[in-house]
Amino acid sequence: MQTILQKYDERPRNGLRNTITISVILFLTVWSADIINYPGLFENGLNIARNIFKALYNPTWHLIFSVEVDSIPFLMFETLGIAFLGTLLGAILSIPFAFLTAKNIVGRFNIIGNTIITTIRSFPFFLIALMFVRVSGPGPMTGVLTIGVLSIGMISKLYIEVIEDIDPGILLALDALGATKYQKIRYGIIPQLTASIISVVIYRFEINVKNATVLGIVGAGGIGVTLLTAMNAGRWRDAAAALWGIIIVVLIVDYFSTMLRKKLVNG
Amino acid sequence: MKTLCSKISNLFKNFIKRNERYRTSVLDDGTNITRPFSYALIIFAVVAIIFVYFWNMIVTDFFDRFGFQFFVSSIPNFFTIIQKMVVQVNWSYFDKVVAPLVDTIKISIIGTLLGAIFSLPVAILASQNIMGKSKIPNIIKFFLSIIRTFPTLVYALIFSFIFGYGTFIGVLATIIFTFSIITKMMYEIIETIDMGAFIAIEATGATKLQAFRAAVIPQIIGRFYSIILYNFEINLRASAILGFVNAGGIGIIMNDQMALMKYGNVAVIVLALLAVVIVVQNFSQYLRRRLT
Amino acid sequence: MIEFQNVSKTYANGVEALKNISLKIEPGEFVAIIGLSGAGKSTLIKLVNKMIDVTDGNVIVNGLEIPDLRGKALRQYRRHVGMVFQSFNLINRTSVINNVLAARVPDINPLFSLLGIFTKADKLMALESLHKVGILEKAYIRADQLSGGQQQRVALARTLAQNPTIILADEPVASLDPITANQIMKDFERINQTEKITILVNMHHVDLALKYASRVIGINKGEIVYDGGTDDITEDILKTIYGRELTDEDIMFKDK
Repeated sequence: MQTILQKYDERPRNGLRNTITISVILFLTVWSADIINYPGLFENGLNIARNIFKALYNPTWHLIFSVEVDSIPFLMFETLGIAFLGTLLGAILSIPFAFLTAKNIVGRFNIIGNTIITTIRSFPFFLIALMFVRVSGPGPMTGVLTIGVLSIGMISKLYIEVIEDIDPGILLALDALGATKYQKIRYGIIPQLTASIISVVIYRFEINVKNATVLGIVGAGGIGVTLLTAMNAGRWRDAAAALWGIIIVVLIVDYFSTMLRKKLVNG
Repeated sequence: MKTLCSKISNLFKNFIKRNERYRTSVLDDGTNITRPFSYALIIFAVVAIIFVYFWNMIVTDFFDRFGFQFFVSSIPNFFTIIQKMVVQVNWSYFDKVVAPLVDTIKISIIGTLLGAIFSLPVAILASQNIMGKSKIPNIIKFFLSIIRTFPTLVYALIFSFIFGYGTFIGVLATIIFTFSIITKMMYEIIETIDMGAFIAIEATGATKLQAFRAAVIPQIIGRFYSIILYNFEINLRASAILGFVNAGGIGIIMNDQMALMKYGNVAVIVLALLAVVIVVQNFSQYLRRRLT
Repeated sequence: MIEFQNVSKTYANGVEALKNISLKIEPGEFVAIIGLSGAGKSTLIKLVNKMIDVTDGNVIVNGLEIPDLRGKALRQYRRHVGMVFQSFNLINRTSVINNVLAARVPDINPLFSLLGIFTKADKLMALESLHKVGILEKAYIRADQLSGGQQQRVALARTLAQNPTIILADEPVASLDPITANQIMKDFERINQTEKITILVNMHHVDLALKYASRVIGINKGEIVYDGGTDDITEDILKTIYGRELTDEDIMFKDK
């Protein structure tokens, strides 16, 4: 019995740490709680909600099934295009950023690159869109540029990881059997990188599709434009059509993205 | 439909077989060795076609309408804005930034917390291995996949027509978005844990709920907290934009100042936001490392 | 007392795991069930705490008809039946003592169990269970940092914390090396004698079964082909049970 009581006294006392953590969280919650100031329903709010809901069952069908310039399919393609080109642009733009921030290339100076990349990542993306509007006007081109810049954050981080992880052993081995620089890159470096790069790029594409749908609200093209105009004009059925367009396309992209990335992981 | 798919894949397989001759070479000792079919070329071709299509649709169209020259000469506009922001930084504007910034932070905190709280029970209900033969997980996963298609801003936009402007819709939108993401991440985790301990505790006479609490929660709780922090970071950045649909926070003044072209003020807003994001990021990284 | 009355079990895929089994086990016995893999040993044990249901026949434990038990009654019954698994089934990411405390969960206040709060009495009882299997020093160490044998002892301590009248063990030493296996079997023997708990062990190592159990039940293709003391077992009987000569797989200590 004595030994047992002794062991009992040895028990780890987490009480203090747990209390502090819970207190902090409670404090933050209470402090933030005043942000939930229910403003009541907008004048017609309940009606509008009901209308939106009904519209989801009965969207403007011809918009969904036609292929003219204003139709949902066209706009969703445009949105996909914005995401696609934007991701590609981001992948290209990230290369210099990555090389200038990889520890095994610039050593301690990577702090500069790191800060720049973090700044870009934290820049509210609508701001970037607004800035590009001054360059290419409202329209999908702006969307492409915005998404391109946005993607730099995630993709350069990936490049950096990959660059810093390059196994020099393989390069040495290739050197030893007399490979040329090109051969070393082609057979030594590229195979190590391709799978993870493609996987992340696909993931980023998936995210960018969602972002692209929203950019239209700032005028950067894609389905967001229709959504915004329809809702502002009270054309709930048109808006519902746009929403359905988003749902279907994002679901498809999601599905393929997950499937492709799983295949990449398994070789 | 299925026969069509199998017909196509058969055609493909035949093609690959016939192609085998070109990929086979003979080694010195007489054995044949065949290189496996390389999909890389096909994939590259497909991507190239997609690229050309989209390029045409968007970029060429753009150049047709506005002209390449115009575009090239407008690019500096972007950098001019940045330059103006840096040069005309207007620190006195900072006082007006504080309140909306605090609002943005609060929206993220409450949105993330409430979204997380609701997500755990639903994630449990959505995990096939806990729910046994029930069809409930399938139903939940289906609805979740639909809810997940919309980013926070879309919800905020819709809500702005129902509830009017203000931080409330921002919080609501954040809650729904957070809920959809965390639930998915959590059920994916729960479905891959080791059920052995759960079975053992059930065999001692505990209810499913008790067994879950005792055996499963310890395995997932660390990752749950980590996911919450990760989402908090995402929500912080998204909250900053909510203002564009009048859902409160720093986005409102950002929009206004941009429209007024007062880049000096915009600069201060961005810097303040940046500071908060960096602090949160570092703190979150530190905590997340401690949790796993 | 554990009683099987004409019990049969056929699985959904058509496999007839048990065919018309009848047996009686008195309180305090140490029984080993031996036979080939797939003979029905695991099925038999799992029928005692209703982890599996019978297709036919009845299982009666201490007067309770097990197949009828459901919900709260089933849970209350299971409190008295401890189970030890081949793969230990511990909660890997928590400490040893938390693993043992998990067995106390059904007995304590639901709110406390939700929050993970245990009383001093609970903790002392958990420590005592650990002491009974000789692993008290490891109480606050994370469970997955222990060796296989130590983990199985923790599992054993966990069942002891339930204050069971019966302990079921499904291949408890199959994943352990011979020396540790011996230790664990000794632990079972000691618990059987000091705590007077009925022990029903499933194993495919014949020599260990014969060494520690007082009674052996041999199962072949779902039927009991031997039920008696360990002294009366001959090579021929073993051949009936196993349907073949014994191989190295069936013996733990090869040099016997």
